[in-house]
Amino acid sequence: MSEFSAVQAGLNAFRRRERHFVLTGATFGYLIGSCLIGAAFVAAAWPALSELISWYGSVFHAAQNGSTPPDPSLDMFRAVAPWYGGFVLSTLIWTAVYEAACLRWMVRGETGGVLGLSLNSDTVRVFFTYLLWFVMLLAFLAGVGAFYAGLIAINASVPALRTVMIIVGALAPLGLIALLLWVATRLSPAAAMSVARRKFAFFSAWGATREKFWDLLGAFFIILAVYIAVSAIAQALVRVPLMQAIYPVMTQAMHDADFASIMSRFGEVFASPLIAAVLSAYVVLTIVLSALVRLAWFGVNAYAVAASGEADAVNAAPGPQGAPPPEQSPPAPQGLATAAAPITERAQALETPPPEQAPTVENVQAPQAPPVAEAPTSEKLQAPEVGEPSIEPASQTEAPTTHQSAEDGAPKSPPPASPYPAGDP
Amino acid sequence: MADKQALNATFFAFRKREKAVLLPATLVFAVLAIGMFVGFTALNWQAFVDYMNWAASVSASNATAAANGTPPSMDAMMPPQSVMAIGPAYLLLLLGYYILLASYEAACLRWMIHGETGGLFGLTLGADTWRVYFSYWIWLLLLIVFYIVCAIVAGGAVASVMIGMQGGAEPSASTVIVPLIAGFLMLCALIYFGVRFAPAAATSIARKKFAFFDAWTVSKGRFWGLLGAFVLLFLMFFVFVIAVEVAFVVMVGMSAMGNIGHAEPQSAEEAFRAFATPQYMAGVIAIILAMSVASMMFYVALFGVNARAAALALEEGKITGSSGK
Repeated sequence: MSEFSAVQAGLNAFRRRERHFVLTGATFGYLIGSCLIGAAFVAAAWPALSELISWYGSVFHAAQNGSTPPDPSLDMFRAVAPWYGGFVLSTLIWTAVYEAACLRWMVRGETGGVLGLSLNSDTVRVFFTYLLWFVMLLAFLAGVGAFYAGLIAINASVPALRTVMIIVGALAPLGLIALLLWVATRLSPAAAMSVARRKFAFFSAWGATREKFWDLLGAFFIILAVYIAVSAIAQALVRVPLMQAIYPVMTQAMHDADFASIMSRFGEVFASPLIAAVLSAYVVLTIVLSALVRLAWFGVNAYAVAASGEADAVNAAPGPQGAPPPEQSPPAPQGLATAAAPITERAQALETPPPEQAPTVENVQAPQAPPVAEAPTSEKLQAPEVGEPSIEPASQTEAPTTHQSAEDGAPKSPPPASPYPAGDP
Repeated sequence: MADKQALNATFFAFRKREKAVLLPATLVFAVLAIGMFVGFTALNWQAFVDYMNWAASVSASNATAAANGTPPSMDAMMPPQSVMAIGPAYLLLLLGYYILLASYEAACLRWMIHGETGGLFGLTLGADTWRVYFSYWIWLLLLIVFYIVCAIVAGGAVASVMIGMQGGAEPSASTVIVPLIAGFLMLCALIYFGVRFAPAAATSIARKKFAFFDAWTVSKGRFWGLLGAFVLLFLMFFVFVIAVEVAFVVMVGMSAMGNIGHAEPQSAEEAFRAFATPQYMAGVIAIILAMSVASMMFYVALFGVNARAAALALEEGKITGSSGK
């Protein structure tokens, strides 16, 4: 079994593949679709929403005038609820379409549909994965409630156990959260596993992540750390001009409490070209960053599936979508066997690393020189793209680079096998 | 895998090596760090002046309000724009400072582990620096996680104590002991995980790739050795700081006594004049220098402990230089 690297798992979504812009295209498609769903929700629910907004405004006016704010009507919420339910459901379905598209590409090397997005059986599997996650969360919360109810009942009925109950009650939250994290991490590749096996295989993720818990948790942790770091730097940069622009309004707010004029001044500040540009850039950065985090998350799960060993990969053998497992089905047609070839190759690569494998691809920041044995092509020199840029260093079939040799200072033995085969799917 | 060797890491940084690298790197780091803070102060000098004036005006406004029996003026409470703007600027300064610190730590570790140097007296903005810098972010996130865990345990302790006291029961000793035990366990956990992950940056330098969590492998079986080295260094630094503080107090006393002729100062101005002497200022500067040198030596010694652990792990085959465990 090859080394499972948390860093490599975190970067898996961004490794160079045969075709470019697949994940980028899917991400753009997802963002556009999300905007359309949001717009459709607002348009459809506007009559119900407008009442809610009017009530919200009346609360502000009441606060300004010092009068009692009106109570919200339950009918307002009832009117919005069905639309909101539809919005949540369609957002979930759309996210399942997106995740299925990304996983299909990262796990099976397949694409299709509009920008890779399609409503097919993979989408249904991923959607049911979400539902199962939700049901499991509800079950967990019910379990926590039952646990504490039991604790209170025992404490009330057996006073002699009070000290024990206090200790159990004090440490229980930690244990429960640890349990939640453990189960969530172990089952995190559930959707990726279902896509890999072309059948709903939620709980087979448990086997795929055996002995990889800490590496997986580390990969998720690294993704979160990058997200927090970049967000913090971006926020610090945005605050400098924003504070300069908002300060006069804050000063005015201290002098006179005229709500309307202060809001008008705030409007002027946010409409000024500099602040509008800064905030727009910040919003774009936030969207790009969240898209990258989402992709990296999918990538970790795809990596876990790819590194899960021969058994899982073979189980992903060809078969019509939604068909019974391979051992129960007749031999698959040639075309489908070809479609499943990438994952079989990966399984082989897990056992036999190519001799000309380049040094490990974990250097996060290290710039990579073009390989010695291969002249840099225009394809390799192209500008980085969102989703699958050239963060991934040299292809694994390339020879060690001069830069790497110089950096390492000494000749190295061939590294252990990567979970990926030579070349791209 | 080679046999396990003794750690002997406390003074690893100060071992004699073929050339002096750590001292020039430290001096360059100190100069650049001082330059950054001086530059920041110069750029924001008006903000410091405004802050002083604002603090004085708030104090005066509060005193006037208290004398008149009226609430203090809200206008006076609003800090000047330059003061408000210094916060984000300070954040940016910290970002830059930590990149410099990462560059310095990477230079020290690179030299102590691989015997490599380069750049501006060892300081570079190469891959090692960014690996160390990203380690700092991981530390920050781990600290946040630790605080969350503390909050959860504290919440659990409070909830369990409430449960224990339900039904009007008398508070038992366990309602006090359980939170204390929980706090002690959290402190132990902090020390344990802190020591186990302490060589994280050194591990990344040793492996020439980002390998924060491999520090767990590096410190495996060496927890007590590492803890002992850290405790010894902290104790030495602590004793030095106490000695300097005592020296400072004695010096201030002697200086003041000499200047005011064994008499009590009659006013704040007189007391201030008593300390505004060349001898006193020279003493203060000497103490600041001594503390700075001690702090830098302390930092380098800490780097040395981690470097020694990572270098030993390399020798013993617990980790490998560029790939694989």
